[in-house]
Amino acid sequence: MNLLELTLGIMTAVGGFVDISELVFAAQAGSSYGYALIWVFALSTIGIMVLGEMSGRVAAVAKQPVFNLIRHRLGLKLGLVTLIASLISNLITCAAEIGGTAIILHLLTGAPMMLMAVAMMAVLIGTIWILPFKWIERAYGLLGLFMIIFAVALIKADPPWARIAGGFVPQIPSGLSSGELIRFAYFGVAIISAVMFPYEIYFYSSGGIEEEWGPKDLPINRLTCIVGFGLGSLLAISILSSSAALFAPLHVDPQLPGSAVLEAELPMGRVGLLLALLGVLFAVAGAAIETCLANAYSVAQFFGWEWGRHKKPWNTPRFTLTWIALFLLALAIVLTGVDVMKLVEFAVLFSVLVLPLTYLPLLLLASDRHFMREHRNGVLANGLGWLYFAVIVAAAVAAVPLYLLTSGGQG
Amino acid sequence: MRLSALIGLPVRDAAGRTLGRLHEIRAVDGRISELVYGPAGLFERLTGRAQPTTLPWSRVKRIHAKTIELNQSLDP
Amino acid sequence: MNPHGRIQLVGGLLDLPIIDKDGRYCGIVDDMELEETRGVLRVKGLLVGPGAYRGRLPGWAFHLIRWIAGARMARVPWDAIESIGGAVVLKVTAETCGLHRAEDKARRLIPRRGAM
Repeated sequence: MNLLELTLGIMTAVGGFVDISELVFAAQAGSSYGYALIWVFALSTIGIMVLGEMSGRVAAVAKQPVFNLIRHRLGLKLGLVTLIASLISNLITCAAEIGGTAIILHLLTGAPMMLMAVAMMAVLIGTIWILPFKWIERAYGLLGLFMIIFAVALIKADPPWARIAGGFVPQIPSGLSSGELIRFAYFGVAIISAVMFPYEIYFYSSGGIEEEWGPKDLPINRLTCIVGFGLGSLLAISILSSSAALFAPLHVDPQLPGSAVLEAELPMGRVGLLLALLGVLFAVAGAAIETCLANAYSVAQFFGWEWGRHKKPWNTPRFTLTWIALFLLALAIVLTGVDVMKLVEFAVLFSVLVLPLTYLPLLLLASDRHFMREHRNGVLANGLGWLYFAVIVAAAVAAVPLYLLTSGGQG
Repeated sequence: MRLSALIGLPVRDAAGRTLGRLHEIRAVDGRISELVYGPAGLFERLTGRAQPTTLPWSRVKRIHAKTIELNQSLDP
Repeated sequence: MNPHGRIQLVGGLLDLPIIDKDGRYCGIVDDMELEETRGVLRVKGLLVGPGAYRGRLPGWAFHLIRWIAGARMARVPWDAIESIGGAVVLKVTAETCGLHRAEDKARRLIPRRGAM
């Protein structure tokens, strides 16, 4: 095992874990419910570790990405439904990420948000065009490590560590009204969706094919998922905890992505603010790239086109035109002026509805003797996989009613 | 004739009884050798498990537009 | 597995990706053409492209896809198949079976510069 590769892979996973949805929902969860939703982050992170490891293993052993296998297992009709649903979900998510970067750039430069959205679009297209896959992923993942400032800010804020530790225990706060209870459930479902976004599985598994993983890379896959996602989740939990420690006592409701960065400014001043803005910018920009490429991977794999950024763009022409078109579509959504927070809410809602369709074929494939041979799911992977599938189905069933009852978490 | 035109067609025996729907065809060296039918469809495909009801293709008398007719009577 | 062996047409071949002899992805097995000769039913070839969706989608869905993507369809003869596993690997190039046309059309729109 190449230690440098492993370290870079883990650090990339850490820096790339938090996106606009996790940022927003972590901050709001902390300000509204204190430390009571930390356990949902922890639970969801274990879920994405399990499913991420499976998708990487399928890519390394079956040498086929998830959407090729979805097509083969579900067939054309149901496969098309899954493709269209995930395209819509990922497109909205991509628009939310681009909108998020535009907000951060506006805060950094003062320039108009829409202009920043167009500028960001040009940078993202340029990044994917110029850089090969490994450096696209690493550039934004490693620069996203500026997010560590949130963990540092939390330490400096001297929070009640015992209460943070207590937050890891599954709980429902006592004394909530029925309306607040429903809103608490909505946040639980939203966090599950934000942490287990389907685009992460498509991107991670296709990335494994891009990097030509084989069975010898299975330990790297496992360590990246467990350590990388685990540490990344701690960053998200830092954001939640800082919000609980700093915003909740002041009854501040951090509705905007820009509000969350104040968690770094309050204890650390302007340096903290700047580092937090940069961290969020790179993490969210990286997520914009991942969502767009995940969609392009899905389309290309579903229809059997040449795909991948380990090849030159002119050798994968339909794939190239697809990711450019998807970026432009996402930008068009942002330029309609729709509130970025609404996009975040819709992204989370659509994604949780798509999750069961995404994960079921993956679960079945990962335990398929014909494709996976001796690397198929063992008892633990199967058990956890099906447990999380049940959690995802429950979240998908509850999502729309909870969204409507709480007006998208507003109460 | 296309494969898609056959999959999902009801399989009827010589007595006219519907035995199930065709959801798999097996071939050897490109030559159709067996049909697999039954009530299962999507579940079978999702789980990849072998469907127990199999007949040699030689038992097929005729392929109609909407059914597959066998050349003998069978218990459903 | 080689195409001379025993294969399940739906579970083991339909909807598999196709890779040509140069290792390029060039489509998905969208349907298969069967032919009866002297009482023996055989797989004549693989059908690839949106034109092959006709028997697999409801009429309105097929017409919508045809409006978006056209109705082209290529035929891959059974004899052109090298092996069948996680993908169908061909003995020939994509060009030989007419599987390259859409990709070549798209390639004309992509500038060949700037990428590492």
